[in-house]
Amino acid sequence: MPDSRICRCSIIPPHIFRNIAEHGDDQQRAQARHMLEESAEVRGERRALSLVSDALALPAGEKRRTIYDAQHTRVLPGKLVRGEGAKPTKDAAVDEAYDGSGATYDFYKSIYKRNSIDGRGLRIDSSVHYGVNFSNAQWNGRQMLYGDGDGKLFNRFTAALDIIGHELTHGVTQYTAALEYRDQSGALNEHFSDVFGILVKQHKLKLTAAKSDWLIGVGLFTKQVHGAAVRSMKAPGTAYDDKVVGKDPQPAHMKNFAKITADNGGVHVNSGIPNHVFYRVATMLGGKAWEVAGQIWYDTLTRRLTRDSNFQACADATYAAAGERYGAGSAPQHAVFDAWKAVGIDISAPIVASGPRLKVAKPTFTMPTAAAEVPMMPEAPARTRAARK
Amino acid sequence: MRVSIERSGGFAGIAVRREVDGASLDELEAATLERLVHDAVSVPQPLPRPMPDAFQYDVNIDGHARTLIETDLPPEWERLIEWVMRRAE
Repeated sequence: MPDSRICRCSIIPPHIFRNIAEHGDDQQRAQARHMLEESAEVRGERRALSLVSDALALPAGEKRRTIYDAQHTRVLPGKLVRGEGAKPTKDAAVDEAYDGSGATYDFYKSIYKRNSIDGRGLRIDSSVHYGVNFSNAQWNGRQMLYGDGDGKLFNRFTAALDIIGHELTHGVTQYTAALEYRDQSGALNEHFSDVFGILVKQHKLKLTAAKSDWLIGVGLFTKQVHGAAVRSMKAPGTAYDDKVVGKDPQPAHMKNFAKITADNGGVHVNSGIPNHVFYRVATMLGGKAWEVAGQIWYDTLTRRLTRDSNFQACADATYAAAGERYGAGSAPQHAVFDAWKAVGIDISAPIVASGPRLKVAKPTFTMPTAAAEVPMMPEAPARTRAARK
Repeated sequence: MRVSIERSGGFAGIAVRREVDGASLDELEAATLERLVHDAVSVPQPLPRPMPDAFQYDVNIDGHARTLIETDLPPEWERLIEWVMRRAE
Protein backbone atom coordinates (compact mmCIF):
# COMPACT_ATOMS: atom_id res chain seq x y z
CA MET A 1 0.00 0.00 0.00
CA PRO A 2 1.25 3.45 -0.74
CA ASP A 3 2.20 5.60 2.17
CA SER A 4 3.66 9.04 2.49
CA ARG A 5 7.24 7.72 2.35
CA ILE A 6 6.80 6.90 -1.30
CA CYS A 7 6.40 10.55 -2.09
CA ARG A 8 9.93 11.35 -1.00
CA CYS A 9 11.36 9.56 -4.01
CA SER A 10 12.13 11.80 -6.92
CA ILE A 11 11.13 9.27 -9.52
CA ILE A 12 7.99 7.31 -8.96
CA PRO A 13 6.70 4.81 -11.52
CA PRO A 14 3.36 5.87 -12.98
CA HIS A 15 1.51 2.86 -11.62
CA ILE A 16 2.41 3.88 -8.09
CA PHE A 17 1.20 7.42 -8.35
CA ARG A 18 -1.96 6.25 -10.03
CA ASN A 19 -2.42 4.07 -7.00
CA ILE A 20 -1.83 7.01 -4.69
CA ALA A 21 -4.27 9.04 -6.70
CA GLU A 22 -6.95 6.42 -6.22
CA HIS A 23 -6.30 5.35 -2.65
CA GLY A 24 -4.15 7.98 -0.96
CA ASP A 25 -5.53 10.61 1.35
CA ASP A 26 -5.44 14.32 0.51
CA GLN A 27 -2.04 14.86 1.99
CA GLN A 28 -0.53 11.91 0.17
CA ARG A 29 -2.02 13.09 -3.09
CA ALA A 30 -0.72 16.57 -2.56
CA GLN A 31 2.75 15.28 -1.71
CA ALA A 32 2.79 12.99 -4.72
CA ARG A 33 1.74 15.81 -6.97
CA HIS A 34 4.31 18.15 -5.48
CA MET A 35 7.16 15.68 -5.92
CA LEU A 36 6.16 14.68 -9.41
CA GLU A 37 5.66 18.20 -10.62
CA GLU A 38 8.94 19.26 -9.13
CA SER A 39 10.85 16.47 -10.79
CA ALA A 40 9.02 17.09 -14.06
CA GLU A 41 9.85 20.76 -13.84
CA VAL A 42 13.50 20.09 -13.11
CA ARG A 43 13.70 17.85 -16.14
CA GLY A 44 11.81 20.39 -18.20
CA GLU A 45 9.17 17.90 -19.19
CA ARG A 46 5.89 19.61 -19.72
CA ARG A 47 4.20 16.42 -20.83
CA ALA A 48 5.06 14.89 -17.51
CA LEU A 49 3.06 17.65 -15.83
CA SER A 50 -0.06 16.69 -17.70
CA LEU A 51 0.54 13.03 -16.86
CA VAL A 52 0.66 14.05 -13.23
CA SER A 53 -2.62 15.86 -13.51
CA ASP A 54 -4.14 12.90 -15.36
CA ALA A 55 -3.17 10.56 -12.60
CA LEU A 56 -4.24 12.77 -9.74
CA ALA A 57 -7.49 13.93 -11.28
CA LEU A 58 -10.51 14.28 -9.09
CA PRO A 59 -14.12 13.61 -9.95
CA ALA A 60 -15.53 16.52 -11.98
CA GLY A 61 -17.12 19.45 -10.20
CA GLU A 62 -15.15 19.48 -7.01
CA LYS A 63 -13.90 22.80 -5.75
CA ARG A 64 -11.09 22.45 -3.26
CA ARG A 65 -9.16 25.34 -1.83
CA THR A 66 -6.42 25.29 0.75
CA ILE A 67 -4.98 28.44 2.24
CA TYR A 68 -1.64 28.52 4.01
CA ASP A 69 0.13 31.23 5.98
CA ALA A 70 3.82 31.55 5.02
CA GLN A 71 4.24 33.68 8.17
CA HIS A 72 6.43 36.26 6.43
CA THR A 73 8.94 33.68 5.26
CA ARG A 74 9.62 32.35 1.80
CA VAL A 75 9.09 28.78 2.91
CA LEU A 76 6.19 27.18 1.05
CA PRO A 77 3.48 26.32 1.58
CA GLY A 78 3.53 27.34 5.29
CA LYS A 79 0.99 26.68 7.99
CA LEU A 80 -2.45 25.41 6.95
CA VAL A 81 -5.02 28.02 8.03
CA ARG A 82 -8.19 27.38 6.04
CA GLY A 83 -9.42 24.38 4.08
CA GLU A 84 -12.42 23.95 1.83
CA GLY A 85 -15.67 24.65 3.62
CA ALA A 86 -14.01 26.01 6.74
CA LYS A 87 -15.30 29.21 8.32
CA PRO A 88 -13.77 32.59 7.58
CA THR A 89 -10.75 33.51 9.67
CA LYS A 90 -10.12 37.00 10.97
CA ASP A 91 -7.24 37.39 8.55
CA ALA A 92 -8.30 39.42 5.51
CA ALA A 93 -5.54 38.01 3.27
CA VAL A 94 -6.57 34.44 4.08
CA ASP A 95 -10.23 35.09 3.39
CA GLU A 96 -9.62 37.11 0.25
CA ALA A 97 -7.40 34.35 -1.15
CA TYR A 98 -10.10 31.81 -0.27
CA ASP A 99 -12.97 33.81 -1.74
CA GLY A 100 -10.99 34.96 -4.77
CA SER A 101 -9.83 31.48 -5.74
CA GLY A 102 -13.41 30.31 -5.22
CA ALA A 103 -14.80 33.03 -7.49
CA THR A 104 -12.20 32.13 -10.11
CA TYR A 105 -13.00 28.42 -9.88
CA ASP A 106 -16.74 29.14 -10.14
CA PHE A 107 -16.19 31.43 -13.11
CA TYR A 108 -14.26 28.88 -15.15
CA LYS A 109 -16.61 26.08 -14.15
CA SER A 110 -19.91 27.79 -14.80
CA ILE A 111 -18.96 29.75 -17.93
CA TYR A 112 -16.51 27.50 -19.76
CA LYS A 113 -17.15 24.14 -18.03
CA ARG A 114 -13.54 24.03 -16.93
CA ASN A 115 -12.90 22.08 -13.76
CA SER A 116 -10.15 24.05 -12.02
CA ILE A 117 -6.80 25.21 -13.35
CA ASP A 118 -5.81 21.97 -15.05
CA GLY A 119 -9.34 21.12 -16.16
CA ARG A 120 -9.18 18.05 -13.95
CA GLY A 121 -10.08 19.33 -10.53
CA LEU A 122 -6.64 20.39 -9.32
CA ARG A 123 -6.74 21.55 -5.71
CA ILE A 124 -6.03 25.26 -5.53
CA ASP A 125 -3.38 26.00 -2.94
CA SER A 126 -2.55 29.54 -1.87
CA SER A 127 0.03 30.90 0.56
CA VAL A 128 -0.51 34.37 1.98
CA HIS A 129 1.88 36.59 3.96
CA TYR A 130 4.68 35.41 1.72
CA GLY A 131 8.00 37.09 2.47
CA VAL A 132 8.54 40.43 4.17
CA ASN A 133 6.87 43.45 2.56
CA PHE A 134 6.77 41.33 -0.58
CA SER A 135 5.19 43.43 -3.33
CA ASN A 136 3.98 40.72 -5.62
CA ALA A 137 1.58 37.87 -6.24
CA GLN A 138 2.43 34.85 -8.29
CA TRP A 139 1.40 31.47 -9.58
CA ASN A 140 4.67 29.60 -9.18
CA GLY A 141 3.74 26.65 -11.36
CA ARG A 142 2.13 24.73 -8.50
CA GLN A 143 0.42 27.17 -6.19
CA MET A 144 -0.48 30.79 -5.53
CA LEU A 145 1.60 33.03 -3.34
CA TYR A 146 0.69 36.52 -2.18
CA GLY A 147 2.81 39.18 -0.56
CA ASP A 148 1.51 41.79 1.85
CA GLY A 149 2.90 44.68 -0.19
CA ASP A 150 5.29 47.25 1.21
CA GLY A 151 2.51 49.48 2.55
CA LYS A 152 4.17 52.48 0.89
CA LEU A 153 3.28 51.87 -2.75
CA PHE A 154 1.40 48.59 -2.65
CA ASN A 155 -1.36 47.20 -0.49
CA ARG A 156 -1.70 43.46 0.02
CA PHE A 157 -1.98 41.56 -3.24
CA THR A 158 -5.17 39.71 -2.33
CA ALA A 159 -7.01 43.05 -2.25
CA ALA A 160 -8.23 42.86 -5.86
CA LEU A 161 -10.21 39.94 -7.29
CA ASP A 162 -8.85 40.50 -10.79
CA ILE A 163 -5.31 39.94 -9.47
CA ILE A 164 -6.36 36.54 -8.16
CA GLY A 165 -8.08 35.70 -11.45
CA HIS A 166 -5.01 36.93 -13.33
CA GLU A 167 -2.61 34.74 -11.36
CA LEU A 168 -4.74 31.61 -11.48
CA THR A 169 -5.10 32.08 -15.24
CA HIS A 170 -1.32 31.77 -15.50
CA GLY A 171 -2.00 28.27 -14.21
CA VAL A 172 -4.67 27.67 -16.85
CA THR A 173 -2.23 28.85 -19.53
CA GLN A 174 0.44 26.54 -18.14
CA TYR A 175 -1.86 23.57 -18.66
CA THR A 176 -3.13 24.66 -22.09
CA ALA A 177 -1.26 26.85 -24.61
CA ALA A 178 1.80 26.94 -22.29
CA LEU A 179 2.82 30.26 -23.87
CA GLU A 180 6.50 30.78 -23.32
CA TYR A 181 7.00 33.64 -20.88
CA ARG A 182 9.14 35.93 -22.99
CA ASP A 183 8.69 38.40 -25.84
CA GLN A 184 5.38 38.23 -27.77
CA SER A 185 4.32 34.80 -26.51
CA GLY A 186 5.01 36.08 -22.99
CA ALA A 187 2.99 39.23 -23.60
CA LEU A 188 0.13 36.98 -24.74
CA ASN A 189 0.51 34.93 -21.56
CA GLU A 190 0.10 38.19 -19.62
CA HIS A 191 -2.75 39.26 -21.87
CA PHE A 192 -4.84 36.14 -21.27
CA SER A 193 -4.30 36.57 -17.53
CA ASP A 194 -5.57 40.15 -17.69
CA VAL A 195 -8.54 39.12 -19.85
CA PHE A 196 -9.77 36.36 -17.57
CA GLY A 197 -8.76 38.32 -14.48
CA ILE A 198 -11.08 41.18 -15.43
CA LEU A 199 -13.78 38.73 -16.55
CA VAL A 200 -13.73 36.99 -13.17
CA LYS A 201 -14.31 40.40 -11.61
CA GLN A 202 -17.01 41.45 -14.10
CA HIS A 203 -18.77 38.11 -13.63
CA LYS A 204 -18.67 38.36 -9.84
CA LEU A 205 -19.97 41.95 -9.88
CA LYS A 206 -22.40 41.26 -12.77
CA LEU A 207 -20.91 44.08 -14.83
CA THR A 208 -21.53 44.39 -18.54
CA ALA A 209 -18.75 45.38 -20.92
CA ALA A 210 -20.15 48.91 -21.01
CA LYS A 211 -20.19 49.23 -17.20
CA SER A 212 -16.71 47.83 -16.52
CA ASP A 213 -13.83 50.24 -15.96
CA TRP A 214 -11.49 47.75 -17.72
CA LEU A 215 -8.81 48.53 -15.14
CA ILE A 216 -6.53 45.82 -13.77
CA GLY A 217 -5.56 45.93 -10.11
CA VAL A 218 -7.85 48.64 -8.73
CA GLY A 219 -7.06 48.98 -5.03
CA LEU A 220 -3.52 47.65 -5.25
CA PHE A 221 -1.76 51.01 -5.11
CA THR A 222 -1.81 52.85 -1.80
CA LYS A 223 -3.29 56.33 -1.67
CA GLN A 224 0.22 57.73 -1.98
CA VAL A 225 0.43 56.63 -5.59
CA HIS A 226 -1.08 58.77 -8.29
CA GLY A 227 -2.82 56.13 -10.34
CA ALA A 228 -6.16 54.37 -10.65
CA ALA A 229 -4.76 50.91 -11.26
CA VAL A 230 -1.85 48.95 -12.68
CA ARG A 231 -3.09 48.57 -16.26
CA SER A 232 -5.94 49.84 -18.39
CA MET A 233 -7.38 47.68 -21.15
CA LYS A 234 -9.54 50.53 -22.33
CA ALA A 235 -6.68 53.02 -22.62
CA PRO A 236 -3.32 51.26 -22.19
CA GLY A 237 -0.65 53.67 -20.99
CA THR A 238 -2.99 55.75 -18.80
CA ALA A 239 -3.40 53.65 -15.65
CA TYR A 240 -0.89 55.59 -13.54
CA ASP A 241 1.48 58.51 -13.70
CA ASP A 242 3.40 59.01 -10.50
CA LYS A 243 6.61 60.66 -9.28
CA VAL A 244 7.89 57.50 -7.62
CA VAL A 245 6.31 54.69 -9.59
CA GLY A 246 6.69 56.36 -12.99
CA LYS A 247 4.27 56.37 -15.89
CA ASP A 248 2.28 53.43 -17.26
CA PRO A 249 4.43 52.30 -20.23
CA GLN A 250 1.84 50.21 -22.08
CA PRO A 251 1.32 50.74 -25.80
CA ALA A 252 -2.10 50.36 -27.43
CA HIS A 253 -0.80 49.97 -30.99
CA MET A 254 1.91 47.97 -32.79
CA LYS A 255 3.67 51.16 -33.85
CA ASN A 256 4.58 51.67 -30.19
CA PHE A 257 5.62 48.06 -29.51
CA ALA A 258 8.38 48.18 -26.89
CA LYS A 259 11.64 46.44 -27.77
CA ILE A 260 13.22 45.94 -24.35
CA THR A 261 15.07 43.14 -22.53
CA ALA A 262 13.83 43.81 -18.99
CA ASP A 263 10.61 42.09 -17.88
CA ASN A 264 11.37 39.08 -20.12
CA GLY A 265 11.14 41.30 -23.16
CA GLY A 266 8.42 43.61 -21.91
CA VAL A 267 5.71 41.02 -21.31
CA HIS A 268 3.83 43.40 -18.97
CA VAL A 269 4.30 46.28 -21.39
CA ASN A 270 3.32 44.90 -24.78
CA SER A 271 0.33 43.02 -23.38
CA GLY A 272 -1.36 46.42 -23.69
CA ILE A 273 -1.80 45.79 -27.42
CA PRO A 274 -3.83 42.55 -27.29
CA ASN A 275 -5.52 43.81 -24.11
CA HIS A 276 -6.91 46.71 -26.06
CA VAL A 277 -8.09 44.36 -28.80
CA PHE A 278 -10.13 42.40 -26.28
CA TYR A 279 -11.61 45.57 -24.83
CA ARG A 280 -12.66 46.65 -28.33
CA VAL A 281 -14.23 43.31 -29.21
CA ALA A 282 -16.11 43.14 -25.91
CA THR A 283 -17.45 46.67 -26.07
CA MET A 284 -18.31 46.44 -29.77
CA LEU A 285 -20.40 43.36 -29.08
CA GLY A 286 -21.82 44.73 -25.84
CA GLY A 287 -23.51 42.72 -23.10
CA LYS A 288 -21.58 40.42 -20.82
CA ALA A 289 -17.99 40.24 -22.00
CA TRP A 290 -17.47 36.70 -20.73
CA GLU A 291 -20.20 35.32 -22.96
CA VAL A 292 -19.03 35.91 -26.54
CA ALA A 293 -15.69 37.73 -26.43
CA GLY A 294 -14.58 35.64 -23.46
CA GLN A 295 -15.64 32.42 -25.17
CA ILE A 296 -13.62 33.28 -28.28
CA TRP A 297 -10.57 34.04 -26.16
CA TYR A 298 -11.07 30.88 -24.08
CA ASP A 299 -11.30 28.74 -27.22
CA THR A 300 -8.17 30.44 -28.53
CA LEU A 301 -6.14 29.89 -25.36
CA THR A 302 -7.17 26.31 -24.77
CA ARG A 303 -7.29 24.97 -28.33
CA ARG A 304 -5.53 27.16 -30.84
CA LEU A 305 -2.26 28.52 -29.46
CA THR A 306 1.07 26.87 -28.75
CA ARG A 307 4.10 27.86 -26.69
CA ASP A 308 5.68 30.04 -29.35
CA SER A 309 2.55 31.79 -30.70
CA ASN A 310 3.00 35.49 -31.43
CA PHE A 311 0.51 38.36 -31.79
CA GLN A 312 -0.22 37.55 -35.43
CA ALA A 313 -0.91 33.90 -34.59
CA CYS A 314 -3.21 35.02 -31.78
CA ALA A 315 -5.05 37.43 -34.06
CA ASP A 316 -5.58 34.71 -36.67
CA ALA A 317 -6.59 32.21 -33.99
CA THR A 318 -9.22 34.50 -32.43
CA TYR A 319 -10.60 35.18 -35.90
CA ALA A 320 -10.80 31.46 -36.66
CA ALA A 321 -12.28 30.73 -33.23
CA ALA A 322 -14.95 33.39 -33.72
CA GLY A 323 -15.78 31.91 -37.13
CA GLU A 324 -15.95 28.40 -35.78
CA ARG A 325 -18.28 29.22 -32.92
CA TYR A 326 -20.41 32.04 -34.32
CA GLY A 327 -20.10 31.59 -38.07
CA ALA A 328 -17.96 32.98 -40.86
CA GLY A 329 -18.86 36.60 -41.42
CA SER A 330 -20.72 36.78 -38.10
CA ALA A 331 -20.76 39.95 -36.01
CA PRO A 332 -18.27 38.54 -33.48
CA GLN A 333 -15.88 37.62 -36.27
CA HIS A 334 -16.14 41.10 -37.74
CA ALA A 335 -15.52 42.63 -34.34
CA VAL A 336 -12.37 40.51 -33.95
CA PHE A 337 -11.16 41.55 -37.41
CA ASP A 338 -11.78 45.25 -36.78
CA ALA A 339 -10.28 45.25 -33.29
CA TRP A 340 -6.97 43.73 -34.39
CA LYS A 341 -6.86 46.09 -37.36
CA ALA A 342 -7.26 49.03 -34.99
CA VAL A 343 -4.01 48.09 -33.20
CA GLY A 344 -2.13 47.55 -36.44
CA ILE A 345 -2.53 43.81 -37.03
CA ASP A 346 -4.32 42.46 -40.11
CA ILE A 347 -5.83 39.00 -40.06
CA SER A 348 -3.72 36.80 -42.37
CA ALA A 349 -6.52 35.11 -44.25
CA PRO A 350 -9.83 36.89 -43.81
CA ILE A 351 -12.88 35.36 -45.38
CA VAL A 352 -13.69 37.48 -48.42
CA ALA A 353 -16.60 35.87 -50.22
CA SER A 354 -18.98 34.03 -47.95
CA GLY A 355 -21.43 34.56 -45.14
CA PRO A 356 -24.59 36.59 -45.07
CA ARG A 357 -23.18 39.48 -43.01
CA LEU A 358 -20.08 39.92 -45.11
CA LYS A 359 -18.55 43.35 -44.88
CA VAL A 360 -17.39 44.14 -48.41
CA ALA A 361 -14.41 46.43 -48.79
CA LYS A 362 -15.55 49.75 -50.18
CA PRO A 363 -13.58 51.94 -52.57
CA THR A 364 -11.60 54.41 -50.52
CA PHE A 365 -12.34 57.44 -52.69
CA THR A 366 -15.60 59.27 -52.27
CA MET A 367 -17.25 60.74 -55.30
CA PRO A 368 -20.26 62.87 -54.61
CA THR A 369 -21.90 61.86 -57.89
CA ALA A 370 -23.61 58.63 -58.89
CA ALA A 371 -22.19 55.36 -57.66
CA ALA A 372 -22.63 54.00 -61.19
CA GLU A 373 -19.60 56.01 -62.26
CA VAL A 374 -17.38 54.24 -59.76
CA PRO A 375 -15.26 51.56 -61.47
CA MET A 376 -16.33 48.00 -60.87
CA MET A 377 -14.79 46.40 -57.81
CA PRO A 378 -12.11 43.83 -58.61
CA GLU A 379 -14.04 40.80 -57.39
CA ALA A 380 -17.09 41.61 -59.47
CA PRO A 381 -15.86 40.01 -62.75
CA ALA A 382 -14.78 36.89 -60.87
CA ARG A 383 -18.22 36.55 -59.43
CA THR A 384 -19.76 36.91 -62.87
CA ARG A 385 -17.52 34.17 -64.21
CA ALA A 386 -18.37 31.91 -61.33
CA ALA A 387 -22.06 32.49 -61.92
CA ARG A 388 -21.74 31.37 -65.54
CA LYS A 389 -20.28 27.99 -64.63
CA MET B 1 32.60 48.29 -5.87
CA ARG B 2 29.44 49.37 -7.60
CA VAL B 3 26.28 47.26 -7.65
CA SER B 4 23.17 48.19 -9.57
CA ILE B 5 19.94 46.24 -9.69
CA GLU B 6 17.03 46.64 -12.02
CA ARG B 7 13.97 44.77 -10.84
CA SER B 8 11.32 44.29 -13.53
CA GLY B 9 8.22 42.18 -13.96
CA GLY B 10 6.02 41.10 -11.10
CA PHE B 11 2.24 41.33 -11.38
CA ALA B 12 2.40 45.11 -11.58
CA GLY B 13 5.22 45.10 -14.13
CA ILE B 14 6.71 48.23 -12.60
CA ALA B 15 10.48 48.50 -12.98
CA VAL B 16 12.60 49.66 -10.06
CA ARG B 17 16.29 50.57 -10.28
CA ARG B 18 18.66 50.75 -7.33
CA GLU B 19 22.39 51.36 -7.17
CA VAL B 20 24.98 51.28 -4.42
CA ASP B 21 28.51 52.60 -4.79
CA GLY B 22 30.94 51.13 -2.26
CA ALA B 23 33.04 54.32 -2.42
CA SER B 24 30.21 56.32 -0.86
CA LEU B 25 29.62 53.86 2.00
CA ASP B 26 31.28 53.84 5.40
CA GLU B 27 33.83 51.16 6.13
CA LEU B 28 31.46 48.76 7.81
CA GLU B 29 28.84 48.98 5.08
CA ALA B 30 31.44 48.70 2.34
CA ALA B 31 32.74 45.53 3.96
CA THR B 32 29.19 44.16 4.22
CA LEU B 33 28.58 44.85 0.55
CA GLU B 34 31.82 43.19 -0.39
CA ARG B 35 31.03 40.12 1.69
CA LEU B 36 27.50 39.83 0.25
CA VAL B 37 28.83 40.11 -3.30
CA HIS B 38 31.54 37.56 -2.58
CA ASP B 39 28.99 35.10 -1.17
CA ALA B 40 26.61 35.61 -4.08
CA VAL B 41 29.12 35.16 -6.89
CA SER B 42 30.57 32.10 -5.17
CA VAL B 43 27.43 30.00 -5.62
CA PRO B 44 26.40 28.49 -8.95
CA GLN B 45 24.16 30.94 -10.72
CA PRO B 46 20.89 29.41 -11.96
CA LEU B 47 19.95 29.97 -15.59
CA PRO B 48 17.22 32.59 -15.92
CA ARG B 49 14.04 30.57 -16.23
CA PRO B 50 11.12 32.94 -16.84
CA MET B 51 8.12 32.38 -14.57
CA PRO B 52 4.83 34.26 -14.82
CA ASP B 53 4.87 37.39 -12.69
CA ALA B 54 8.12 36.49 -10.96
CA PHE B 55 10.47 39.43 -10.51
CA GLN B 56 13.41 39.59 -12.90
CA TYR B 57 16.63 41.04 -11.46
CA ASP B 58 19.26 42.42 -13.78
CA VAL B 59 22.25 42.76 -11.50
CA ASN B 60 25.37 44.60 -12.55
CA ILE B 61 28.48 44.23 -10.38
CA ASP B 62 31.35 46.44 -11.54
CA GLY B 63 30.26 46.15 -15.15
CA HIS B 64 29.55 42.43 -15.00
CA ALA B 65 25.86 41.78 -15.79
CA ARG B 66 23.71 38.88 -14.65
CA THR B 67 20.01 38.08 -14.89
CA LEU B 68 18.22 36.20 -12.12
CA ILE B 69 14.60 35.22 -11.60
CA GLU B 70 12.93 35.52 -8.21
CA THR B 71 11.71 31.91 -8.15
CA ASP B 72 15.21 30.52 -8.50
CA LEU B 73 17.13 32.95 -6.29
CA PRO B 74 19.80 31.24 -4.20
CA PRO B 75 19.71 32.60 -0.61
CA GLU B 76 23.09 34.29 -1.13
CA TRP B 77 21.71 36.32 -4.03
CA GLU B 78 18.51 37.00 -2.15
CA ARG B 79 20.56 38.54 0.70
CA LEU B 80 22.62 40.70 -1.66
CA ILE B 81 19.61 41.92 -3.62
CA GLU B 82 17.58 42.64 -0.49
CA TRP B 83 20.46 44.58 1.06
CA VAL B 84 21.13 46.70 -2.03
CA MET B 85 17.43 47.38 -2.64
CA ARG B 86 17.04 48.59 0.93
CA ARG B 87 20.32 50.47 1.23
CA ALA B 88 19.68 52.41 -1.97
CA GLU B 89 16.02 53.12 -1.30
